Amino acid sequence: MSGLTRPTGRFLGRPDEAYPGFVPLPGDDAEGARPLPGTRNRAGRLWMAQAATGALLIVFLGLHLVAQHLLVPGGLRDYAAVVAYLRQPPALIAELGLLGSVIVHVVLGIRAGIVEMVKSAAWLRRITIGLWIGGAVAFAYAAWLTALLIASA
Amino acid sequence: MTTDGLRPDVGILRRHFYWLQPRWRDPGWLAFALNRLSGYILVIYLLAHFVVLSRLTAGPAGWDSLLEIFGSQPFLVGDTLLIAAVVFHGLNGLRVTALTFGFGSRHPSLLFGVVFAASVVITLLAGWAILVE
Repeated sequence: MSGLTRPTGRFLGRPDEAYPGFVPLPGDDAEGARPLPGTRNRAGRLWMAQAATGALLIVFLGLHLVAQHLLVPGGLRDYAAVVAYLRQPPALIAELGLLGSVIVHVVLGIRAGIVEMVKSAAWLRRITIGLWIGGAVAFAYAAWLTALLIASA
Repeated sequence: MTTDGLRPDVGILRRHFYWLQPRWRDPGWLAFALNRLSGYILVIYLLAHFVVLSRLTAGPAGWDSLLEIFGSQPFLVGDTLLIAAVVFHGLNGLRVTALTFGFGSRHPSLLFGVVFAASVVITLLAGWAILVE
């Protein structure tokens, strides 16, 4: 276990040598993660953002599954019921909140996998920008779809 | 401590999929591997979900014709498996977040066992609600 250095209590990104799922024991040396050369170490903040969106997802996805499926006879809403549901402001807020948090969470999750593949900070930056653009497009598409449904006759 | 999977001279795919190799005897490794697998499954599902929802633009006729397909037995079994991925990913996320803030690191196996058992129980309950009720 020597050389595995992640401080307990604060997470600064996974140490390079740590195997997947490494759990730091209290008393492990705290050295912190080494960022890729040429980058600031933002892993800690990104991780916190993923944990925060994950917590939001548990709330929003729970609401989504219960409202859209568990409480609906048969488990699926027909078109009229989907539109009627989305026209209620609280439901709309919950669905848009779910959309926003799921996209941020997915972008950060895919990025976390990419970090282990790329060799240079430049490529990590390019791919990260591409992921955020993809996330923005997905958000715009789903928001447009929602607006279309609410406005439909 | 082996660092093979992270060596920069190893190819991109091997460097990425090192986490699939069961060489780390630790519940944290199993949790990590299941978390990443379920994460990828959920990303693929999310994309499919967005594509399917585009049928809502076709109006009631376009959407309601899909409901019969999605209410069929194979899709309901798929829904149950999806619930398993969602529930494990969510509960494991809570586990990792707890570890981040320093809770539970003294008993990692116990914590993972609780997460896994709770995932199984919730999935069975959801499967009962979806498939039986």
